[in-house]
Amino acid sequence: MGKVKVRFFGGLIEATGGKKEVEVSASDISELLDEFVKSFGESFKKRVLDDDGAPRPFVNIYVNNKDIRFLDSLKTKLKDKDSVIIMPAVGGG
Amino acid sequence: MERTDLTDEDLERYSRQITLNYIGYEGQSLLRDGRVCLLGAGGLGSPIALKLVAMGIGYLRIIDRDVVSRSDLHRQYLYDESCIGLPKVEAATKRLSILNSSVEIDPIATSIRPSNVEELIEGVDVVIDGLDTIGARYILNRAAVKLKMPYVFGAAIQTFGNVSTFIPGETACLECFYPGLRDEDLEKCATVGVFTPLLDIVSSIEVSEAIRILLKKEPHLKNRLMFVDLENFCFDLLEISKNANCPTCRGARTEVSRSLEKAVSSVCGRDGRGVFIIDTRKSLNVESISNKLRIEGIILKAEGKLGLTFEYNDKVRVSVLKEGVVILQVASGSGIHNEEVALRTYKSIAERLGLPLA
Repeated sequence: MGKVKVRFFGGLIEATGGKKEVEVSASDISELLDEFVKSFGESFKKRVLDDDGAPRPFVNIYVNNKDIRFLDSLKTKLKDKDSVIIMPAVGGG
Repeated sequence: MERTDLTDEDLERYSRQITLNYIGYEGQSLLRDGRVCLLGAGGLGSPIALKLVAMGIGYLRIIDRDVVSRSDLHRQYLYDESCIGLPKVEAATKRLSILNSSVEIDPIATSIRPSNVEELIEGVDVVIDGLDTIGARYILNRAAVKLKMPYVFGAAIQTFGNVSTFIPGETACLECFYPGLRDEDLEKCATVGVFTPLLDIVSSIEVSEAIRILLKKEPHLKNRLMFVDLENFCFDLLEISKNANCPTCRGARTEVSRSLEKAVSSVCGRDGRGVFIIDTRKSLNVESISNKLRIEGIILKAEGKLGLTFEYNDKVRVSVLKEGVVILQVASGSGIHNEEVALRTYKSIAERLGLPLA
């Protein structure tokens, strides 16, 4: 279990009711997302997670600037002072 | 190939780059011999083109399927008001040739498709991304991996953007870290907007990476995704890696997404109009279309060598590009509300004007 700082970017800020940065205690990414569903409710769940509870393809999560796809995905462990970024993929130009 | 010396004019023109240790005489010679393919000449593509041409690369191929709109001008300052309705690649070539006549500019007014992309990007040292959809980027990514072509990726929306450099065989590709995306799930500039200074930052980093490749230096953004957000003033370097299961990198991807080969597609509206792009895939004779329009009494809004724009009626504006792309810009109240109706409308226009059917 670690107390981590999470930053949200882009359209995902709407899913948190406007919050750009929060501190949360969680042992891994899966638990972190559960905490957000509890605190931010349905809008977060619908926007960020698919029907199986996994992050949608356009949602990118980084722990200490490392993409969790290349760590342990949802089971990536969190420890005190870890930094988490949750941001949408960028497709414009 | 033996390299020729820089000319006296080159020495004067590029003196600030030649005295810069980072480039120098040798580097300027490498730039002069450098060949780049730019896909997309919009928000990112236009500042990319300006910088590459000003810096004196040897050859720039520009591929784009759009015409200049009034709503482009706040950020795409490669163009001006006199360019509205002209194919972007044609307007770009005119401006870039004045900026630096020693650079060979090769404009191609076409859509990027799985069936033409390999031909479009071959014969260059690096491809640079000025695209505006993830679908087109996937087409480019797959071809770049297959042809082992370095690909500088850039994307921008609202106040935030991404840049990364993919070296096939060495680094992650686009689909290693952005797999399975659909454009309908992503935000679009026409609906959420984009901040002009952001485009300059993202395009500058892209150019810097492409220049490093031409200078035979290691790109900075190999296996790193640069994230910038000017609203919150964040600059982050995020670590990405090659994904062992990526079907593109494994060469296992054979299917072509149907949505990427569609004859008609609805794209973001502009200037208060809905926009449909119809890809006939047949070369058009712009001059004979222009003559036919005159005979029919239809007024041309803009006319170039690679395409033209005309008002078909008070609700429908049509742009036709030489390589077979037709853009319908439809006003509200036109009744053209989906791709099927757009295609039907185009069919009746095509029959009247002798244009090819999609």
